[in-house]
Amino acid sequence: MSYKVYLLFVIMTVLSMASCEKIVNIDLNSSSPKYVIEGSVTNTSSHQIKITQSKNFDEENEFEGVDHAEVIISDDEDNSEILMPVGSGMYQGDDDYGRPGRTYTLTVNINEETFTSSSRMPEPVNFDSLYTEDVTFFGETLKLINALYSDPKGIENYYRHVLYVNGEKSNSIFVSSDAFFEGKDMERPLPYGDFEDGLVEGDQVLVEMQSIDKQVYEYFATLIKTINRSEASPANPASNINGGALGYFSAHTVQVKELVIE
Amino acid sequence: MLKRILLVLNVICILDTAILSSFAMGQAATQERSDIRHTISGVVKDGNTGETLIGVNVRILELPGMGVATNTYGFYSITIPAGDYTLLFSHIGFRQQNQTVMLDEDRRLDIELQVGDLEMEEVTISARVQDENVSSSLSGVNRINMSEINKIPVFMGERDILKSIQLVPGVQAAGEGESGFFVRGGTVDQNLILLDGAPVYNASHLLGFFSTFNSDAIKDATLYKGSIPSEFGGRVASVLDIQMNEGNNQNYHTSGGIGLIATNLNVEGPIQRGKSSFLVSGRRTYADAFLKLSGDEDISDNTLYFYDLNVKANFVVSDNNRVYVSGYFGRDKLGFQDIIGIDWGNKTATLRWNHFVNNRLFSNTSLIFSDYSFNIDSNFDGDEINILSRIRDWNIKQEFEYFPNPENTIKFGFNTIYHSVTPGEITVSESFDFIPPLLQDRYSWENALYVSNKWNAGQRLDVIYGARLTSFSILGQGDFYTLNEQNEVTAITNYRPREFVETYFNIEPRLSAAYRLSGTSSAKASYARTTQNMHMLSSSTTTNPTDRWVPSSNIIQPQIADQLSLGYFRNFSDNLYEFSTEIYYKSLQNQIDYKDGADITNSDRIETELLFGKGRAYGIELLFKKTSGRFNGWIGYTLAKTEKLIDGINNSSWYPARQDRTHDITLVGMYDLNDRWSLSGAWLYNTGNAVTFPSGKYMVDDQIAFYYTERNGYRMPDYHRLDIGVTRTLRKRERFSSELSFSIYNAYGRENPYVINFRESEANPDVTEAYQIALFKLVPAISYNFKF
Repeated sequence: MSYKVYLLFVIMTVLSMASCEKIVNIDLNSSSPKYVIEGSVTNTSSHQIKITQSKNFDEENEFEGVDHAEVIISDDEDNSEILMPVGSGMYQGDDDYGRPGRTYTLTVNINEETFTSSSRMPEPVNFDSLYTEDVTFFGETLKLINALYSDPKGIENYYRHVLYVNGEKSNSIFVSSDAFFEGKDMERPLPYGDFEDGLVEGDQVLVEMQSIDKQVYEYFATLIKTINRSEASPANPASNINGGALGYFSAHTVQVKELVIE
Repeated sequence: MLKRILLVLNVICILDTAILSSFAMGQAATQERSDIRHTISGVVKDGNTGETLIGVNVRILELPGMGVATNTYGFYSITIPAGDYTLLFSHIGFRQQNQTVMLDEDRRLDIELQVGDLEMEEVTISARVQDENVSSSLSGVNRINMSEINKIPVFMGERDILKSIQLVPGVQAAGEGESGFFVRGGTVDQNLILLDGAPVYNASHLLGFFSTFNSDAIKDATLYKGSIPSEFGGRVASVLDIQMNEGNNQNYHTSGGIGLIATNLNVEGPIQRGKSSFLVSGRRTYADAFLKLSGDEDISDNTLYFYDLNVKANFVVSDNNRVYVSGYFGRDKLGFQDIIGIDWGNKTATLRWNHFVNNRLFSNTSLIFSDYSFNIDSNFDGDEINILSRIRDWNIKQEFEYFPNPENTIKFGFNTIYHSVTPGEITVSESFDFIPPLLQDRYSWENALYVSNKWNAGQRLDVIYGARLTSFSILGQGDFYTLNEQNEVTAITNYRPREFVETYFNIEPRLSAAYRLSGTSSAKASYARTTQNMHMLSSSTTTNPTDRWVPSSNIIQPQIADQLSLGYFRNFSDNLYEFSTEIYYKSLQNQIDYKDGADITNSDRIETELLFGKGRAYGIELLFKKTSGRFNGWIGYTLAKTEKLIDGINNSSWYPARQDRTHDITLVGMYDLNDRWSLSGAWLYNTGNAVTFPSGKYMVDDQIAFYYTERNGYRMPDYHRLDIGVTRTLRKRERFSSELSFSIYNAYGRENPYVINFRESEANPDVTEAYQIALFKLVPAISYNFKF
């Protein structure tokens, strides 16, 4: 609701009524730890799973890994692989990459609990180009990165873009569906920073474009709402993992493009 | 099912026999006294302005305990045995008028009451009249005193009827500075707000900080939160019935006000003296004037304002016919250079014909139009997008009031409304390579047939009973969906234009009774069933112009509420003090909530985002009020609980509704220091809303996300604030009067949180923290009001 924020801003400024922000102490309940599983199968790397646990709100932001799980990834061609723990809750497959069109199934056994999920790797869509555009707001210019690609006709497609600036991953989550752009050229703007700390000359930009399946799209689309707390009743994102764990399992294709800001 | 049918039949039977018996009683009475009965009827007006007066008590000296009140159009009718009588006309703030009548034939008696201008006189004049709260057969009803609104301290100097209503027990603001309100545990959309009979779908300006009602244009406002009369329907929590002024038909008058953010001006006067009059009332904010002052084009090119325009004219066509035309037009406009423009607002129009069919039958016919729309225009380098959402009603109302005898007043009539809802029509310029999402328009046809009788069943007992039969038909064209247990679409059925998709019928019995325990106290009871077919879905906690209205569909069932309330009313010291307490219990069916992560703005298959269940609300309200004198005011307290039970939320167990507030205290005081200075203050306290906070956190996608265990499991901190006001009368003459008002909103600067949010600490990234944003700390305002 950006217009609303803007409107509030204008009201505040014009009538010079200071709205005030302050840190407050809210007594939040504790909850029993939940497993958090993040898994990916891609066509450019070996399989990777990360398992951590949730904590209480007032604890430190250090999320220890769970290293004693049994992690298996199998596909619909009867291939199956056990992933090995490599520390910090990370599990790594061998050199076998995922292939578009196959459906992958994840099984995680931790103590007595079992969690499962499956995801189908879509066919890749060509990442045509990456470019910047100057956008002017309030007389100031902001560099905006755009990803360009052509949506294939006749099928539902879902995309995710991951933005890295100078090697550091941006916290913004960019997912799109072709619902309103079916079969068209898609220009996906990937905003970064604001007037104070936007992109500057010399910044190295890397964008990873993923073709994802519908459940993974829904997970990230609802994760954005959870993180922004934009809804009246915030809720956990729609996970594709069964058995009561948080997180997601995604089989997706990967393409990368880079540029340097001029 | 069978049980329900039997219940309905039972109710119809009771109504039938009651109406018949009341007719029979009337006749029995006739034979005892005299064979010949005559009717005396007429219209009561304000002698100075020619405005008709609502709720004037008409009593007969020779027949104590027998009396009627004028209706919304100032009309009264009494049928009594022939004889010589003295009629007493009395109304708050007016001199009582006594009129002797020789009733040997049907008579027409129009009365003009004169304002009682001396304070002393006023007290004595209205002493016996002001026991309305004890004597009225309705409970859970608040007549809003328009002169009180002018005294209560106000936000930003803007007198506001909706803000004043929020000070009544059982009514609460939906949030900081909001004009949306909750009534007895109901949501904002469960209130029917009528302006001259036209529904107003979004009654707020500027995100709710100001209401759409310009209080200078309003004659009368009544809030029904308990016994809702059967002529009203369509919302389950309350009805706020607002009548606009008609305009002075004797003399021209101008009044206005200049405040910090807005100016208003009202002009009224006769078109043809004594026969017809007009009223034009306008208001506009000038925050944008400050923007224009800025030398910076990026700021001065922006737009931000709202305006209201109320227009009304009425014509006395003949003794028995009167025609009214009224309209409201209001809009908020917000623009950011040429790039984006947003505007929203209501339009209503009412054409009304009052007709005295005969001296016992009053007819009121209305043609009503109502439109609410929200519009976004954006233009980025020639790529234009326009989004329009709109709700439009065409409405015909026919009501009859029949006055067979002083013991009974029967109302009956019908109402038919055609609704069309455009949830979001997107048009884009050709340069845009974009296929707009389709949100289908929805059409529906709502009908109601109602009857009620106000029965004066003896010296002590008053009963109003009636029923409303409603139908709601969902019409084509469009696609309608069938869902499975997982809320997924399994089938789509396409309907042709005007084809009936589904029709819901409901019978809504209404009953309220008052029993006089003594001259100064009464006990009251009421039961009302209400239904609602237009539902508002809101993705935020506050009133928002983008809130989406959806009609009932094949899946969204009509909301049904059954409310039972009991009350005790007692006045002290010759009505100087009023005390009342009411308890209520409300049971609700087909309540709506959202599934986790629901998308309600962009989804055409809106039903897949919703969950349905039931609700309950109960509470007790206490009010102690000093009604007149140099110091007056009240203390109100409400203890309440509002819960929902919805499959799929919180393990399908009862959970607090967002608007659930346990305690609510209101203290209002007004003190006239002397002829020139008056002071006022209002203190409010309430338990915080139910809200969803996280109960844990975790790391996903290299950032922290919060973990939620239940919906509405937490509370916002308690809300309280004090508003104070001072009014200085500058000049008070017959020809010209003016006053200056100062007010301070939130005088002790309490930082009431507007939102509470959670994030990684900026000071220490190793921990997470909660922070709050408060909107207003202390808002002083000054305004100047005049009248000539």
